[in-house]
Amino acid sequence: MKRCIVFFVAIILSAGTVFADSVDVEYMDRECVVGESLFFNVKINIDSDKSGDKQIDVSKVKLNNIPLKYEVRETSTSSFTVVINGRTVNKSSGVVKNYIFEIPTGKIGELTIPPFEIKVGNKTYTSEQLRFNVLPKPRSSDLLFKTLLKNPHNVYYPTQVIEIENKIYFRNFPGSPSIQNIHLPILQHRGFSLIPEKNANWEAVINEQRFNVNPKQGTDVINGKKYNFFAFNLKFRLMESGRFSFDNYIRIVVETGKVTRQSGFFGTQLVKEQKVLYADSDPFKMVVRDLPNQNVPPSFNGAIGDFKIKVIPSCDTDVKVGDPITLLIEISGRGTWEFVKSPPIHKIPEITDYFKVSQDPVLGEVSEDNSSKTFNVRMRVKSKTVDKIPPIPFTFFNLVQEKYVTIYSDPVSILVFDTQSNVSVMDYSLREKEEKGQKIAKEERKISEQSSPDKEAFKPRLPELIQISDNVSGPILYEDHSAHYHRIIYALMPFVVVAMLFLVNMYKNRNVSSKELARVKSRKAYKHFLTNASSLEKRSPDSPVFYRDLGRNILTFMEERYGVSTAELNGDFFNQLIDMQTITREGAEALTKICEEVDYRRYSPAKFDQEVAKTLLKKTKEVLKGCQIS
Amino acid sequence: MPNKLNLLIVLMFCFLSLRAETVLADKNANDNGDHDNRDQALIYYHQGISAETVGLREEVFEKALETYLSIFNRMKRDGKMNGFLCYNIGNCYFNLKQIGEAIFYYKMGLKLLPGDENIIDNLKTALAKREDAVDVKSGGVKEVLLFFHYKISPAVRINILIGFSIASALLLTALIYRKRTSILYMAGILCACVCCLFISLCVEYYLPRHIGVTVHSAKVRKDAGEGFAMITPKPLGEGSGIRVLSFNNGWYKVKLNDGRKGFVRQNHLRLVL
Repeated sequence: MKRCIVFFVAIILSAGTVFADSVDVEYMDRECVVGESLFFNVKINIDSDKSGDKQIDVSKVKLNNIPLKYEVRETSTSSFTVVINGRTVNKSSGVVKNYIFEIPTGKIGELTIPPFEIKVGNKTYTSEQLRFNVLPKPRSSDLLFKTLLKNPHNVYYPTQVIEIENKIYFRNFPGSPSIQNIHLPILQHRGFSLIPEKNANWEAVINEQRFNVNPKQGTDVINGKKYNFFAFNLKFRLMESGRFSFDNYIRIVVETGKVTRQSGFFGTQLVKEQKVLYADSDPFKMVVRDLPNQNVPPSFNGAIGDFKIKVIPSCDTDVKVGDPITLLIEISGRGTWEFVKSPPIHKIPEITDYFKVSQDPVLGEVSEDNSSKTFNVRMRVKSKTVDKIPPIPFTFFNLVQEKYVTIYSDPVSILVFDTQSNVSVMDYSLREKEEKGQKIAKEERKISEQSSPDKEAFKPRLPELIQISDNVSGPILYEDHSAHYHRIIYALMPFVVVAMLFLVNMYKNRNVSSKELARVKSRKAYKHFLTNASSLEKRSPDSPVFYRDLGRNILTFMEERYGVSTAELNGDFFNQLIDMQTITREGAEALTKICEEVDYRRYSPAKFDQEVAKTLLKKTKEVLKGCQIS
Repeated sequence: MPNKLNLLIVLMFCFLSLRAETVLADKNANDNGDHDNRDQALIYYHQGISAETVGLREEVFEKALETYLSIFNRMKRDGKMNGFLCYNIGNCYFNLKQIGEAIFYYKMGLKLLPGDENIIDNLKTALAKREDAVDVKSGGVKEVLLFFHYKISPAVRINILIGFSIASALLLTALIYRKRTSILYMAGILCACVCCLFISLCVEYYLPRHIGVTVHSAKVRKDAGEGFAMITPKPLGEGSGIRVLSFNNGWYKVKLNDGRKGFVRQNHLRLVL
């Protein structure tokens, strides 16, 4: 009996210990490669009866003073189901809460989580220090990963569609490598909206999730090495502006080529050894700009793309004053329809002056083929003088031109009846009366066109163009006005020709140089003598220096003609000249005589005779003339 | 014999000149492909003037502009420019109320055709429409003295240079055979003109004076970056003329009239030629 009591007490105590609160910390991973996350689990057992009251605080689980992210999974330790009055009731005797903490890794080496406290109700539990190992990524030059933007532009704006090509290059691996995961953080960013591909037939694991893509395979040569490649494209629509940078990498499993023995259920098996490899792409960087905030037209409503506007009245355009007109505004073209809103008609004075327009937002409807969006706008005519719905503007940002463009719809003609005349005329039961009413209305319209000054005022005011000179056309537009600097060569060509002519002239004169030179010299010398002699004649005839100057002039002639100095002039020199046939013997004798006479008269005590002097000068001229080369 | 050689040289020169002109004429003949486009652009332009709605007006002016710009770009690609085409483009922009672009194209047209009255008139009208705009100070006495450098387009200067050089060559040839003082003086004057024009063209080619036109309202900043402070109290209005010193990394370095230097974003400024 005593034993039985002890046994039951032991069972009760053990049950109590089972359902008492407890906190366990379990490693889920002890090591991982850098860039991936480590996980550990904090398991908290709570008695089910008290679980509602107890508050659990895990905020002190920190790494570098930053609380770690966690996920809670709850399980009951023992449960049973009871059906009471036809209703199923679950009962559990204990609850286990698993707090799974994620540790992002950025550095290689040992990672330590210091001891942390966890509060469960009033109790506080303290854990031990946790140690993890962060390993470097195993890489290989035979595995490459590239993420490239196709058709890159300088500037991107929100709503533009971009296409990213992801290429995995591999070589020299036995068997085909198996892609475990492609890490593309762009997919998780809200600024990039993935456009799913149609007819995608291959499932890729991207960011640990499965996506259907259209793969391409082939071979390519990089740095002289031939690689097999596997590629797929992803299309995104840019949703917000900013600077973006993404680090992409892949994780693949390849065979090493070795075979190992492994014992299994069916005995020892030969298993191919495998290893995990990583490859990083260059950081994928992109800048998406905000739309320009300068010169934003007031009618801009956020549309981006290239559009056209068309306004169709969806009801009869012959209306009374105060009757509603429904306009179907169709915006067609290319762009993101989420951004296309109804033109702000209630803000256009040309419309609001003559129409009452609702200020409620108008919801549009996108066509099935995604080529247009339509808006139904209701407005009421205020005045009978209105005959047109003026052009409705629609502004959008044109991505090609990179500017705001405003387009206008065509005006819509309407016919407005006066309220009283309409009441008296319109009778829809009778066709004849209706026709009559229309005729009356048309007549009224004609009258109003002639008489009403308001109507003229209503016409959409087309701003007048400033008068400038008209455009030019015709052959003058074919002319080339740009400066062709190479044509300067044509300006140098005439000078080349002149230089050539100069050289030719020199060449022509090369053989006659000595003889011709002597002839020119003799002429020049005689000419010089004549000039000097004429000045001698003009002087006073009784000048005592006449003969002296005459003698000097003769000497100058001799120097210039024969190239000899005064000291060398003697009989021997004349003999040499006679031998060289430069002067005749008679000429030499005459010249000698002249020189002697001049010398004699210069020092003669006789009175100066003008006639004698003139005769001597004349005679000298004749003799020197004879000394010239003909 | 020497006389025959002279004749041969002159004939060779004449042949080369004629050959050069033939090549140029052939190039011009190739332009006739654009004939239809130009006529179509003019039709669009006139439709824009007589349009009855704002939408239609802008649409046809845009079409005319697009056509003219496509021709302009094609010509530019072939190394050609036409002042009248720039003038037409300027007119289209003016009617589309894009004054900055209009002034830019008028200035470009004026650079190619310096004396054209239509361009001068329309440019004046466009300049009057600007707000908060500045212009580059004119050269003053320097511009008057070196009128041939500032007032004559480079293309015309090249033609004058060729004409002067032919005339001076003829005079020099005459001087070789008949040494007359009068010929010497005339040849000297012509050679001096040729030298001036040659130097002017060399300066134009190797040390061009870059003038930019702001096609949008442009902020002049202390350094190349949006974060730097403005050096002018107000942004320069569109259509402002400003001297450009250099270009680097999407920013133009500019010089203001008071000598200060600043930076303007590339998309706000366009260089004339």
